[in-house]
Amino acid sequence: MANNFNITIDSAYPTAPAVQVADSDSGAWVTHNLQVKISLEKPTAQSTTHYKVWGTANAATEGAASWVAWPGGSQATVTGTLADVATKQTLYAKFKNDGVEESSVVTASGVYFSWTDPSISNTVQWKDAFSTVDYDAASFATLQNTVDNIEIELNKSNIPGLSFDSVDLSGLSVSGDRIIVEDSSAFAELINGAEVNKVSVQKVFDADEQPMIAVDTGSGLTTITAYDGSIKTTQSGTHGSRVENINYNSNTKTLTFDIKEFSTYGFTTINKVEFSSTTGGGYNGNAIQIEVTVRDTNNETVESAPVTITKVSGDTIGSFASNPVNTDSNGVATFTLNLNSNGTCVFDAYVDDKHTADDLTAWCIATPASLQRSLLTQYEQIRNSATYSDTVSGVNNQAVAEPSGSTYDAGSDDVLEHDMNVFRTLLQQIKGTTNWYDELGTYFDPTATSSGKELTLDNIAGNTLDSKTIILAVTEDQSGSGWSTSSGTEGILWTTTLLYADSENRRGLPIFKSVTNSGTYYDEGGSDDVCRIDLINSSTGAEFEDASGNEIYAKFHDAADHGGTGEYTDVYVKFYTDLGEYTFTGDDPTNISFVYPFRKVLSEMEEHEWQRTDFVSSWEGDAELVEDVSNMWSFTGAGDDITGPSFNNTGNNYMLSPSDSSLTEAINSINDEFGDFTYTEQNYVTDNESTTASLDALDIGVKDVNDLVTAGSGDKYVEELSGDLSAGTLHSLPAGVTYTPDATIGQEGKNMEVFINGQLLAASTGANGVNADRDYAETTASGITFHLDLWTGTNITYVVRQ
Amino acid sequence: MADYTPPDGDAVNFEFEGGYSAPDGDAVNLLFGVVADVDLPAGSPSRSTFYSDTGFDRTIVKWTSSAGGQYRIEMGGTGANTGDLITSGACAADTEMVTTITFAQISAASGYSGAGQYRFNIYVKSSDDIWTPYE
Repeated sequence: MANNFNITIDSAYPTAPAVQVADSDSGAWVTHNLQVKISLEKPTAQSTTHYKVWGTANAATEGAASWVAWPGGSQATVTGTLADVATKQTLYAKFKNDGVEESSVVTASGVYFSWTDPSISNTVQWKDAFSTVDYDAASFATLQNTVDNIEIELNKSNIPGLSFDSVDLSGLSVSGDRIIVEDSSAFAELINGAEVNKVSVQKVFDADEQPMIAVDTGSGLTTITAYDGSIKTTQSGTHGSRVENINYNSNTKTLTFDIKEFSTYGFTTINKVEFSSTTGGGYNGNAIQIEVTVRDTNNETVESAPVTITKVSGDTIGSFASNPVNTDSNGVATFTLNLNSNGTCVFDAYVDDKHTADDLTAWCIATPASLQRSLLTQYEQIRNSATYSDTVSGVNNQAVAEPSGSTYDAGSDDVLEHDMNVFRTLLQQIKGTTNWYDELGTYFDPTATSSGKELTLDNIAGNTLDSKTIILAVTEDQSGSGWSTSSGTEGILWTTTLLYADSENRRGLPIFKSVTNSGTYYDEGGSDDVCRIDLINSSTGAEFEDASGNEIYAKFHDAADHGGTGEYTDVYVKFYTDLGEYTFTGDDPTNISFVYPFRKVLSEMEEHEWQRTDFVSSWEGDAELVEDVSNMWSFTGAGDDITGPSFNNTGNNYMLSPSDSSLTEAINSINDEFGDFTYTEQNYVTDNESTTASLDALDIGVKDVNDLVTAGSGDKYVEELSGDLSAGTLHSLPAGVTYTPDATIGQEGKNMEVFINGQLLAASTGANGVNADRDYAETTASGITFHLDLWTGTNITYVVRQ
Repeated sequence: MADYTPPDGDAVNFEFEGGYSAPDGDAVNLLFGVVADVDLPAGSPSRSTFYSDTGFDRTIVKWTSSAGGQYRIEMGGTGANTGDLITSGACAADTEMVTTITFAQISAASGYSGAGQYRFNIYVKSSDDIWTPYE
């Protein structure tokens, strides 16, 4: 296997003289035709005048070969015929000059002849047997189906590399006016996929009808050509380029075309010509349009078909602007009939020999006088009501929309049908639906979620934003200065141009009371939900109460009742508690601000007004409250979704109980455990004093008792002298014991008791017993000096207290 | 494309042709599909040497492909579409194709440089859109 070969270009080739057959010098060459090319090169030095060739079917031997005049030049090419045998055939040649000097015989390398007819479907046969066209020497071969009058030409110039010998063409068949190629066949491989390869088809029709080409790629026939033989403008992609060179000779009824991409091909002709509407007409002097649709036997519309309209009967009511008219890409031929004579006419339309089955009845009538309506006119007024358009162009930009083209008779735009279409279009635009008659359906109804609410204007009425009001909370603090108040203040006269809400215009300040304009304002005597004004202590930012614990707030009064002017000038902020009107006392704040209600229409709400920015910027706004809540969580140990405390060390003898479910209960438990701070004897602690004071008193008392107890006890040490001890000699205490010498008068030696053989001794007075007036002196912290002689074996006992 | 599974335990050594060097560090994605085998029968081409002399200025190449599809015969080059195109078309599988190459075609090619040897390659594009590789 190799997909490559080498060729040498050699200017010395071949070596003269030479003869070669069928462009071959290989000696193994197989040719598929009998008539072959014989290439000759004369001897270099010879002025050749004649040559002869033998070994062919006509001249098997040299003797049978005749001298032929040399055509001149160094080389010559002639033709010869091989014998129809399968064995190797060798040709010979000889050259001579002036008919005298002959060259030696030159021998060609030899060739073989081999031929096998192509295999084909039994639905076709070769138009010419290969034996009559010298086998593969034929530049083309034609398959034919005589039943369908179809011929398919395979031309080597259209299929580069094609050899007819042994080629498998059985994948092509012709049957039932169809040219069929199996997708995976060798024939399909030869044609499909290459830019240059194609086959030529010829189809002769019996009937005198313009044919069109159709293709079936697996989903039925699709017409790909127009009436005039061009590719339909609606076709693109493979369908747009699979055939070319389409030509129809109507004289011979022969269609020829080339196929570049194979599938199943068939043919179609015009099958039906029909009017879009079988009635129509208009007023004399106007023009009407008549549409005719042409379809083929595949029921597809035919492009470029020439449609002719003729009068069948009746009056001549007008003239056509053009007749015939070619169909457009949609297969529709549109005629313009200029009406010029009253009457009725029946028209027929046709292409070739196909006529409309249902003819068109058209009329032309005189334009009726004003206020006159003939029966015919009335009929026209209401006709075609079932033909409607939801999308009348121009309906929104001109006073009288004219939906030309929406119905059959575009020349009569003043009929009710068109008006109805305009209204239908407007209704469709208002509803926003696809069609004017589509149901709007329902929208979500929170009170009836399963059924929803019908989308009707009645249901919407009263429910739009501009039909609803909202009471907005607005801050007023005199640009941060607040209002000064004092004992005796009953209210504040606030200068403002805001309007008062009244029964007609409910927007503005809700006025709770007016005497001067009694009955004028909408909210007179209104509830706190509407009229209440929150007063804020400027120093704390919080609401405040009177001495009895009643919250102090305010309501708007007509300023005209309180020394002011009234609406659009000022308003009076009157103080209240739940007990009624209120006058400030000396305990009340001296500077206040307030948050007042103001009624607005929802549709007038500004975007920022929903965000309560006034509160954030002044008193306890939402953001501030969030921070406060967070702080409170941090302070109490609470948190999001935590509704109760969780204490450690509950139960048993702890102060807190497992049943404590709130900080209040926990504190009560602690409070109960601590008791009422009253004592029976009050030895060390005192009633109602702080816990610290009581513990401090107990701490001091316990310390004192401990000191006393410690002073009354001591550590005992016993010593037996190992030698004599003379009086006046410092004697160290045993075991390194130390003590604190004490010369307190009357308590000398109180920190250590000394016994001799069980007899308690007395310590001398003076610092370190300097007076030596008793049994021993406390000379040092680690030793004492006896004032008497002691002997070996004496038992000395020390009791050291400190 | 057919799924290909290399034999267990065997190393697979890939050699790139046509002056191609796989970039360092980049993965190489190998796709396997049907590739047409092209074969020239004994005696093809009819002449391996010729020149411009009348009658001795052409050779005839017979060839077959194991797969049908588009073909290109190119002079020179190292793969499909890299040499001088001599002729192209479509072929059927296992069907003898006959291509005549003339001195005029060779001398008109950009790769022609006078007397000498020239290599010709036949490429067929299989149904998997893979051209016969350069050998």
